[in-house]
Amino acid sequence: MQSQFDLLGAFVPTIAAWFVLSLAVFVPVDALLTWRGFYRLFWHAPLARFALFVCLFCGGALVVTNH
Amino acid sequence: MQAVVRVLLTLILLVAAGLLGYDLASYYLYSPWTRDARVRANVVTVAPDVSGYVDDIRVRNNQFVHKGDVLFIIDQERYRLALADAEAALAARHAQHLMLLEQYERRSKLSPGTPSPSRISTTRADSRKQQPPATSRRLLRATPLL
Repeated sequence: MQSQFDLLGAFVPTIAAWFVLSLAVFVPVDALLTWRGFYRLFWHAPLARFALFVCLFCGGALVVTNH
Repeated sequence: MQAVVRVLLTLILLVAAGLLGYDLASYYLYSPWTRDARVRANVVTVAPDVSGYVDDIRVRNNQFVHKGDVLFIIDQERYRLALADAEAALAARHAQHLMLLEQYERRSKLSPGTPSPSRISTTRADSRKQQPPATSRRLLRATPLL
């Protein structure tokens, strides 16, 4: 995986694109989990949501960049 | 009990997020990368012994080759023609040589006084001159290579 990719002539870091993509993935998943009451299992719901997003973003980025 | 599980789950998730974040951050901060890399390769110049148009290339890019492999074919028609030319010249010279020898034999057997002595010696010299030239003999020997 390249560190940057060419977006209409501009070099965009792959991680930024992955950030946008993982946000797009996370928002519906987050809405679903909230609706199912998944976050009630946690101590601080916002903290759990944040940690979940960080896991998705960082784990995905590490997979995408073949690290 | 329920509260402990909730705190523990949250902490586990948080620690996982922290580890992944640390891993990604160190990867992005410390793994080297560049946009200005250069590739160098060893280039070996290959030159044939004879000149001519290249008819056929028998190798691909970056192909591993062994000693004696055919890399390319140089237009063979011109060399075949040159060989046939030389062979024809050789045959002509040879025929002429035989003819002059025959003439020499015939004239030297004639009764004295009929041909002038100078004529005989010229014929003998001519027959020597008509020996196949060295270059055509070399060409004939080179034939199996073609």
